[in-house]
Amino acid sequence: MSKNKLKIAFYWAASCGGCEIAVLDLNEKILDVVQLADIVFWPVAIDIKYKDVEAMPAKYIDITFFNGSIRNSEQEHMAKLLRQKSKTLVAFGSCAHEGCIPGLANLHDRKEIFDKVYLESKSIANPKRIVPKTSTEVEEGILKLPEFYDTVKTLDQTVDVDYYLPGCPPPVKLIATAVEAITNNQLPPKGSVLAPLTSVCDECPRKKDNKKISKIYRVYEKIPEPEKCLLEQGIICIGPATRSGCGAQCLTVDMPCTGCGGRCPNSPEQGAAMISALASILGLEGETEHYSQEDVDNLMNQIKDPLGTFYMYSLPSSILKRKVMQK
Amino acid sequence: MKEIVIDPITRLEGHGNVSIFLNNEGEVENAYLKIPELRGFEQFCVGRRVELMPILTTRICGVCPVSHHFAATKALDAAFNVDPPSAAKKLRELMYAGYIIYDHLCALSGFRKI
Repeated sequence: MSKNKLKIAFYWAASCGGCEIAVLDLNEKILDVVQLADIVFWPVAIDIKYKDVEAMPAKYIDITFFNGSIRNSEQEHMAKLLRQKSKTLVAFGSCAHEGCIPGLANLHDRKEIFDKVYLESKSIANPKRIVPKTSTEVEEGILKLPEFYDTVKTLDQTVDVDYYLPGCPPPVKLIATAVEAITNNQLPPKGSVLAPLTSVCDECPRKKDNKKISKIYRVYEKIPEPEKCLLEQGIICIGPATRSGCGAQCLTVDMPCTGCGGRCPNSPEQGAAMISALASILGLEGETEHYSQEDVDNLMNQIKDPLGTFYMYSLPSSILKRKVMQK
Repeated sequence: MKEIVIDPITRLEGHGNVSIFLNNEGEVENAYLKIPELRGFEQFCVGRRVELMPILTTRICGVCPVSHHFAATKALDAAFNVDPPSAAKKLRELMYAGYIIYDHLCALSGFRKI
């Protein structure tokens, strides 16, 4: 192991593995990474155990790319351990950044999730009604599992984070730019999100006519006109409230943005920003000065599952954070 | 009883650890695979818009998202009680064939690069 080489680690907490694939999607650029850095920990690719990480001196790792949210006690332990062992900690991808889709579990608590997954699902056969426990006595000894928390947390709700790479997964272009900045020692100030300062609308090739809408369509209810803004055609698109860097890929194939890039710069949260964007475009047809409560209700009721729609990738990091716990 | 712990298991997608128990003769008495990982898609997909299922379920596994995309799409075919047209079926097959090539390349060459 060369002394001049950077030491890099990758870790996954509550994640899907897609962030690891995004790293591999660097293709030949990953050879540059290997040339300038030694990978000292990466469970998906190399055989290093947790005890090896625990044995590393403090700040031994130069940069840790941490993906996944914090869902159980093992992930919390690994976040704290890797923070202690790393000079720079990067929240890599939407889960570590804002909670992402697994963060929608904050609409439930541990019991509701365990009951559904292990007892109630149609595909489950569990006559002994076994659910995970932190400690299980077996003939040979005691088996331990991490504690599953009621609430999903982001990485920076758990430990101090230096940088954020947004996206589900982060676009390869953004990863490459980040790697280049690391290589050239040109990282921006601590706390920066390593992505453009614009919204998906700024990258979207579709045309906006500043049209108002009175009816919301679900994607299967309408074939959108090509090249025209989907939101202005009544299809909910989270682009105005979502940070760019993806090249508006979904929009180029007629798919509305669902918001994986997370909140825009200077926006406190994505859901409220999208509700605000929608409020400025959605209204009754014709010039109507006064809206009755019924009018407003009728307009709003067109939006199915507003929470899941506006906070699909960011519930844990939002002002709402989670559904109120039943004490 | 002596316990050997392999934590974590590595070089595969997912989280796990293994406990191997040895008897007095030093032979393996029993072994347990433990999965310290759950996110609860079964619960939090309930209540979401049905057309989002292919997008939500691809996040079950980012290494094989295409398989989950197809499973959700087939569930939607059933929910809407529709039989997709021939062109759609062929496009799905093409996407899946492309994914099989991508996935094998990823496993064979991707991880070997490291």
